[in-house]
Amino acid sequence: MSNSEISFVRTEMLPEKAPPAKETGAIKWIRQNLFSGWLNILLTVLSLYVIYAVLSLVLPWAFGGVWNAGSLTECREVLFSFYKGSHDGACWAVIEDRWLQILFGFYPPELYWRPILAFVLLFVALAPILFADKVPGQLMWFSLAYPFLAAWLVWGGSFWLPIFAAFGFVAAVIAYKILIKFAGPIVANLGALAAALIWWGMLMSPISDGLHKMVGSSRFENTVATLNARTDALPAEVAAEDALLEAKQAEIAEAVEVKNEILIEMTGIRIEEFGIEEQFEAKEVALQRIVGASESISDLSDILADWGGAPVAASGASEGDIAKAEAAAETAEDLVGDIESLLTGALSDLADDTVDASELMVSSASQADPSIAEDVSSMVSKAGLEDPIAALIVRAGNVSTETPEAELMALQADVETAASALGANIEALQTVHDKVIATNAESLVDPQARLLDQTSLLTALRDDQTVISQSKFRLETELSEGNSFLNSLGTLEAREASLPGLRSRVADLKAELPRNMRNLIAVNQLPEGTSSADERLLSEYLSARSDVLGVSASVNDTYGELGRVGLLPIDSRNIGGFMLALIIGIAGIVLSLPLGILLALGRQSHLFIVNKICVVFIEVIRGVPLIVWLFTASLLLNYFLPPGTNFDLVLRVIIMVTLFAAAYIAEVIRGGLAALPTGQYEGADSLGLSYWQSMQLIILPQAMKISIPGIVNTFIGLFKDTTLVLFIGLFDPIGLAGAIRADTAWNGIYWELFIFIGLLFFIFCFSMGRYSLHLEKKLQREHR
Amino acid sequence: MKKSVFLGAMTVAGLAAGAAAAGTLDDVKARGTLNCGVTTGLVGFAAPDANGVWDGFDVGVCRAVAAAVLGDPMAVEFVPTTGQTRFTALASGEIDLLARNTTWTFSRDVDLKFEFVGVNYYDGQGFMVPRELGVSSAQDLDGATVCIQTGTTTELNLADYFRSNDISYEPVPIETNAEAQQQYLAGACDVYTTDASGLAATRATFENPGDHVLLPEIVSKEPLGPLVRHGDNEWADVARWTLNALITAEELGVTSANIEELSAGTNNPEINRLLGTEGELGAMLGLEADWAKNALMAGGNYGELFEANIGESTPIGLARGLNAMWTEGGLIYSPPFR
Amino acid sequence: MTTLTDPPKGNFRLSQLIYDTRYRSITIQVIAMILVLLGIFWLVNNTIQNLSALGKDFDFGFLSQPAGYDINQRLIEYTSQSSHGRAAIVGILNTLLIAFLGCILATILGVVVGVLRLSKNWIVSRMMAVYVEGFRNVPLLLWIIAIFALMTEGMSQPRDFKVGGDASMILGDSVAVTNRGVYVPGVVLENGLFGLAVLNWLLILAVLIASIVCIRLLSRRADHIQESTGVRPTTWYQQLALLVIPVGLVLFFMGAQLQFPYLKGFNFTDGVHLRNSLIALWLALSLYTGAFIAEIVRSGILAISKGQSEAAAALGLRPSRTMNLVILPQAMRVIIPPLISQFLNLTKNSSLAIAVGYMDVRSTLGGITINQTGRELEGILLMAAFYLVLSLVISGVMNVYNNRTQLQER
Repeated sequence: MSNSEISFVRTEMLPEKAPPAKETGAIKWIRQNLFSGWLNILLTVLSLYVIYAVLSLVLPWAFGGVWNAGSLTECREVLFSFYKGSHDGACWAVIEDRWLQILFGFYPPELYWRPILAFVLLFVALAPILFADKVPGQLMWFSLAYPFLAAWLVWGGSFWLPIFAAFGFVAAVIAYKILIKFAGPIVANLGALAAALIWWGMLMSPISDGLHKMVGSSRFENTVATLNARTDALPAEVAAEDALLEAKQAEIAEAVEVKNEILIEMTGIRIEEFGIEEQFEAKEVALQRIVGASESISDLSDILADWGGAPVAASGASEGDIAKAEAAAETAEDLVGDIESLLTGALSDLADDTVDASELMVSSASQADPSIAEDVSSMVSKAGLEDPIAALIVRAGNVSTETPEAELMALQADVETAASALGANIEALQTVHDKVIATNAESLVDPQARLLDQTSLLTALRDDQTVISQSKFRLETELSEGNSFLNSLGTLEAREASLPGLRSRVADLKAELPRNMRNLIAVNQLPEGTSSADERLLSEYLSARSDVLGVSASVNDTYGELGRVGLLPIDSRNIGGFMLALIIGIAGIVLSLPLGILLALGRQSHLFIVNKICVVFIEVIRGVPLIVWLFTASLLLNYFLPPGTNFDLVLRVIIMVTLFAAAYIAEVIRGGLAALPTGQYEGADSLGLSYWQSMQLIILPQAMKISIPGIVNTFIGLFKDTTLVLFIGLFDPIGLAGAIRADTAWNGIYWELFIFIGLLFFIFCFSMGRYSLHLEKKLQREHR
Repeated sequence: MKKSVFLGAMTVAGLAAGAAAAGTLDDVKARGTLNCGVTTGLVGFAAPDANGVWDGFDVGVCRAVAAAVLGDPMAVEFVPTTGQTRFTALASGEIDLLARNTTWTFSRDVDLKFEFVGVNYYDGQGFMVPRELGVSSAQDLDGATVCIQTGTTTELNLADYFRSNDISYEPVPIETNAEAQQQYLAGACDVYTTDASGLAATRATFENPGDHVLLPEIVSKEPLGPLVRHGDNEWADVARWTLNALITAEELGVTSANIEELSAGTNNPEINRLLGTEGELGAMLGLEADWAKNALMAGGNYGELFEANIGESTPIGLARGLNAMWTEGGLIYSPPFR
Repeated sequence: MTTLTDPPKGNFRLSQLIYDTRYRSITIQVIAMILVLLGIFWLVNNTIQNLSALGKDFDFGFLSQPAGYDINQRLIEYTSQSSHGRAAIVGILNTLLIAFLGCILATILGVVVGVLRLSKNWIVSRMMAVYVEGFRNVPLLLWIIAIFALMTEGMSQPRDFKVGGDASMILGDSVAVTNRGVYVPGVVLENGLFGLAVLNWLLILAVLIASIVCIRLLSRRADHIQESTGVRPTTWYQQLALLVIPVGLVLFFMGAQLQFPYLKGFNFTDGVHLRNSLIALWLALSLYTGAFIAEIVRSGILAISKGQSEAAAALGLRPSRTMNLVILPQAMRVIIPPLISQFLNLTKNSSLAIAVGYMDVRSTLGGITINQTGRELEGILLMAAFYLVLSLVISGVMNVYNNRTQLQER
């Protein structure tokens, strides 16, 4: 604006100047964030150093690793052929070989879809809880059904088993609905409990067995026919797989042969290198000895100088001085001996373990690099190294504590000359060595590449072999199971027919047995002085009873197998690795929620006894480490449960972990309950709601929502703690690592497995933790 | 056959009652599988491979017993046990047979109430030291740091040995062989002590096996063998004589290669009795007549099992030593089949 | 809840036990009690039956039998001829030691890292975040194994300390860091007043405590003077003298001498040997728990609203005083309860000691002893009881503190 009226008022602003370079962009950021004060500078430098130190150690190891190898030995071969001991590399081949095992344990590979499906469905089941506003409420029913569905998917069995198990809850609800019409809530609740227990304990298994029997009988003929056909056909199939396997093994042997030839070829190329290396060690030891001798001489001359000749205690010296003199004299004598023996040792090292420079094998290398021959020829001869030392030994032999200092000094100077000569020789050798390596490096490139190709070929072959042997194993198992099933089908009728007879025998024996003995479960429980007739009677009764139980169980089992409509049952023993950790963790949290809520309410309750029971339970569980509870599950549960009860270790662990988690969940939920303003409780009371109504409609929905992050954190903790089951012989990921290392191929593997397992845990727990943080933030927003 | 259906397991609380009381043989037959306790992994003795199939010397014994009882070496469920859980697993009936390189001792036999059915490996506790230490005898180990695997008889033997020789030492207890190996190789202990077989197996997998020496002293007797519960003599007999059958077969030259031929009948009555073509030994045990033949078909005779799993042709490379046939100066000896 | 009119009394009918809220709670409690008692009876009865069927008894006599195994780290006299009971006590003391050391180091680490994580220095705060997340999200067992292995592989063996070896002692040849542990100089008393070494040390401890009491009295007097005159007398040199001189005198008269470790045979002798198992377990537990404590400290500091420090600044308090008098006392209230529950966790997690061969109570009583005697029921019960008592003591302390610092709501 040129036509400004007031001339002294500035109308145009100066254009903004760019800030100084150190106040912008990255530099500003670095100045402000990293170097803002002396403490910060120190911390930054320190941090950078730590990061550098760690990465420089880990990265070459991790990225210089070997991915294709059949065993640790092969890994080492490959590493050696590339780096020749100068460099340690990871042997990731073990992960390549066993990663599926670390994830799934021994679960049959063809059935991996089942646990995977169960895992995917878990997120569907969680949706109504985590994203209540985005999914239809009906999905809640799926969430309730999920535990049964997942257990069925993982363990298999007839499809009605999970339905029957779930029906217990339905029975409880029905009983409650009926009873509440006639009696109060206490009676109704007890009735519901009783209904569920009756269903699970008494009705469920007979009905399930009945169903199995019904389906089984109708299938009997058919099954026997198919099984017969199958077991007839299977041996041929196994034999075919065997032939394949043999062919594959021959191929592998051939490939190993080729690999070994490549290795030999490489050794051939490197033979000159190795020849020189052999010289190094002996020469270096000799050098050390000579230097030691020189040090001994200077020590000796120091002592002699201190005492003005050989140390002798002056007459009339104090007791301490005499002791000192004696010690010094002794040391001096020792030193005199040392000088000679060190030199002699050095000489013998050189004489026995080294060769003359002219004998070094460098012919092929010097063809490639003529300077090598020159270097070698200019090296001191073996005699040239040895002779001065031999002369020194003679002189050292004359040394005593009386030797004048000047002589010692001269000797030391000569020893040092010998040492430096040897040092120069070693250096020359080193130069030659480096040159030889340089000439070899080129010719090694091709075999190295071939070796890598060969190992990856070997890995592919071995993978094929694993597939074949796996299918062979599957066929063999099928054959063995088919045969034994046919066997049990053959005897099924007889066993079933024998049952009534056995039962009546048990009844007879029981009637004969004195009344006070009828509850005993072992002969050694009998009081002293029982007549031998009674004892025999008891043992007969016991064995008859166990026969009945055994036969009826086996009949039921056979029918169960025959009449199974559903998935192939999988033993818990085959579950391992991450799958086991996940199953224990998820089952522990899901099953512990109801108990946890009850305990939390109980601990908040004003009913004195209920409150104290809950407090004692929670504190006892929380006060003792999980590992002790796991030992209880594996060692003591047999004592606590009815005599003879014996079930699956995984199930025992899940029960124990559920109780353990319940105490922690109870504390989390108690926190949620306590966080609600008192007004909520008072409001519910003022509406005239009963205790359970107010809990169900007002308190718990809010408290649970606040508690979700805490529950997720409890889950993360529990999931990590599942690694402790290795102490009771279950194959969690760390336990599996132990089993893998017990394989001769992988014995000695260490970090690779732990890093892999640690990474898997980290990814899982970290993402869960982030999610719980996100949830927490979301909840905070909603509450404002 | 897999019958322990998970959901069913909750309801069968009473069913297994028979298991602990009596009649393991009937139980196993009815169940169709043998539950065999093994280690969670020990090189050469028991370890699962990439397919989850168990393999090893102890595993071979399990398979032989399964084959003898059920006619099928595959009908075994392997139950991995730790040093701490093994006895409880056996006492509670979770497993029928424990083949987990367990030392036969008085207190285990009498006080813990188990029945050792024989010895499948004569072992002894030895020491391994790095060659560069220049130690040639365990007597030179005064003040040494010693790695021991805990939960075994090893720590008791060690304490006794050093005490009786008046040598001081520093024990470093380690939970597993793999960890102990790592500690030893890193030099965190001067000496590694465990069963001599374990030492040899461990040394075989070192990068430089030649840098380590086994000391001549064997400080204990460790007869390792399979065991069953006290008080079930029928079952103990089956396990015992299956093991004896493996041993006798080696003595008589019966191998998995020539067994088909020999079971057609031979001139040697003992072979005939063993393979069931003569006499009724199988019936006496409550088994089929060809029980021993099945057991031998599973993995071969004792010598074959040894060679295939821990013998000199394997990476472990154990010599027969004490475990040679009695006819060849060893201790492996079976009562006659008669 | 109060009702305006009491319902008519008298005529108690049985159905009131179910329908009347006044009596119903009693019914519920009685039923709960009966159910619990039935459950306990069931468990105990089963146990008795099972024990008698196995021919076992319930007997703690095994505790007085000789243990037969050696323990490397023992805070009290123990040989392989001592009893299983004594082995258990050695284990208990080792557990207490590791728990105590771990709590201290974990607190220090946690506080430092928690503060550094709030640092403006990007690299430092990122590094701390990596540390915290790394330790929080990987099982402790893996960390224990990894740290132990790292220590054994990363440090030199004692034989490398020989003349000509590649390792040497540090701090003027007084400390040797080896892969078997750290050897530091120890103090020996040449002419103690009592024959038993423990008594001598107890005497020194008593003197030390007495000096500390005197120092407290001195500083209280200084407080008085400051309150009445406004000037605080300088007392630090008196305090220092009180702390150092009496103990120094006692040590001098007992002929205290530093004993330096030196290499002899396979190992270093003399001095104090801090075993690798102890250090590895200590580090692993502290680093792991420290990561959790760091988060607690961070959230504790963040929980104090900015207005507090602004108000303190408005009052003219210096930044250091603001921290000491305003922020920390408030943050402590948030920090302490979860901190103590972390201490509880650390104590319980120390039961993983077996992974590195540290002989805690779980390895002695709950490990070798159970294994050698077959007394799993008694052994595990004893072990559980010990951990329970320990936890109750720690959480008792927590509750006392909580009650003292809690803000009173209505």
